[in-house]
Amino acid sequence: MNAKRFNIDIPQAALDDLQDRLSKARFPDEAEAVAAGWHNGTDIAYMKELVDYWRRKYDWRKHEARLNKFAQFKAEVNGVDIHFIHERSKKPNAKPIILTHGWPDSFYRFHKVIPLLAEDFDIVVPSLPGFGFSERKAMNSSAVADLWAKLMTEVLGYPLFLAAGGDLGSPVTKALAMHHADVVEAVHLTDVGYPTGQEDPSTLTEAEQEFVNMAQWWSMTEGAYLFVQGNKPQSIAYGLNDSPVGLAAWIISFANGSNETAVAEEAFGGRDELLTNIMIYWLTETAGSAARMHREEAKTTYGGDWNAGLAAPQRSDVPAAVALFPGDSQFPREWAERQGLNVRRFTKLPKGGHFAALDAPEVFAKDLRESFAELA
Amino acid sequence: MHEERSSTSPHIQFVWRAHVKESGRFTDLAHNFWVLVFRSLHDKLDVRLTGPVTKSLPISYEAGQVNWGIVFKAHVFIRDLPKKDMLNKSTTLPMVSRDSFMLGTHVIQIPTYDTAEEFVEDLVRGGILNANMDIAKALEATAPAMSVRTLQRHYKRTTGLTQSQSEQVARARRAFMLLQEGKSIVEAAFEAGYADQAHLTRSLKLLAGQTPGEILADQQRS
Repeated sequence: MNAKRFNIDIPQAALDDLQDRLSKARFPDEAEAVAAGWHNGTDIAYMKELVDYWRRKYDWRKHEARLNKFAQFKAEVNGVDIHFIHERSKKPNAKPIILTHGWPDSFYRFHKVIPLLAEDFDIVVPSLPGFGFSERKAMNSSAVADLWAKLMTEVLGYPLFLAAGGDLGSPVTKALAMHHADVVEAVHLTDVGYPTGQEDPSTLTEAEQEFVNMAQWWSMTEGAYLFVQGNKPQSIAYGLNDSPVGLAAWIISFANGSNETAVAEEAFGGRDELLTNIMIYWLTETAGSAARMHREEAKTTYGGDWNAGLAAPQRSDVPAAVALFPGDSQFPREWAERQGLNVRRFTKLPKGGHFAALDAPEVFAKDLRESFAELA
Repeated sequence: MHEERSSTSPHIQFVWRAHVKESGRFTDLAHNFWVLVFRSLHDKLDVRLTGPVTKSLPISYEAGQVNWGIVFKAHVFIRDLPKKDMLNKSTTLPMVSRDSFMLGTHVIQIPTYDTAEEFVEDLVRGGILNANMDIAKALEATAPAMSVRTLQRHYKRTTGLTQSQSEQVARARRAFMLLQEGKSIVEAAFEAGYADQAHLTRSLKLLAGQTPGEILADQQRS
């Protein structure tokens, strides 16, 4: 299993085709949409302005060249073609960290923190299967964890490694802690999982109950993508893969959350960064396969007999650090422990949101560094 | 020659002594208790105190040494000497005369293998050693009557470890014994209460310095 060097090199024809589609975009009806602003989803005035910027100002080649400054590779692991960044520290015996992204971000989630961490750690940032430049094969988080363990130990030859992740990267990192305790030294998580609807309310602390109520409220008002992509990802894939405007509006809608202004750009660290992340989905045609990962996760959780209930989470001995950012959902320490994690550090950070590695890179990198100094 | 005996004292796990024929090293397993070791070589005595250990600890010994020691129960603590400060540490205690040493601010006479009980009794009576019976109950997994938070705080103060660290140490020691008895890795993982074999491997690498395979191989060689 050898890793081959990889550079991103999008054919000009794909960029020309995108220009063509953007120039022909057919926007939905305007009158009521303008009045609704962000209330019903991505704001139409914002979208029109963004598409104009995308066509006239945004320069993919500039960002492609920046991404290619990272040492990137492809390797076949368990029969799946995996794309990853591998930046080695100059320090001998630097510990390796594998950083796992989620949806609707990509390996690009970590582009700002790699230089901040690569001095002390060897950094590995893969694209999840089905995402970006990895093979378009959707897998559940547990299967991804098996693949990551193999990538780190067999392809890259590290006997032990550290793991960190958020969003879908969180269940992957948790599965590494649960099933690969022999090779995973410690983990760092920025979220730890959400209620499944099967919790016994009588066993929840007051703070947990509050979080569960919030999460239920959130899923009924903001969690549409989870229902759509968790149930019928193929139905949305046609539109997402055919219309760059549709894809952008879908991603921005959920990156923006319940905010009534365009905070998605801020969440991704800037307008160009937001568009680069969308371009990674568009140019690789992975909106459909990425959406299918939510389906794979849902099948793993709810795939059994509905009447039998869910299995209790396995417990892990691997030391876990949990970082809670003020812009993300707030859960108490005992909720993280309930997920089977061996929580040894629980830190509330002053700044950052769900994509903290993008909107608060220094804070994220500092906490990661301190966590692993303490736990590993 | 190495021998061990159990003890009538509620504060002692066991007392041991050894006469070292050949110099060498061995790896001690992680543990959650105090160990007091007396060593004599060419008629010179010294005293070493080892705190709780959450990883494997290499220990060397010299030919001609006569060593004996007291292994305390985990609920025993030494006044003025927090266990957490001695976590993963071993220290030589200052000698006052040929056969007495300083423990904190107290001058103490070195006991023999046979007088360990009276020695410990004197230390308890003198308030130098304390025992937390609530933690003794927690260690035996019978619940003491206090809140979880209070128990956690006392536990840490008494044993120097958190309850989960202590449980991991206990599990690893049990798995180590099982492998030494010749149990298979799968059986040892199951009986010692590990979620899976990967957890057993992790724990033994960390707490005993060997993989289950290496421990089994050692057992089969000897």
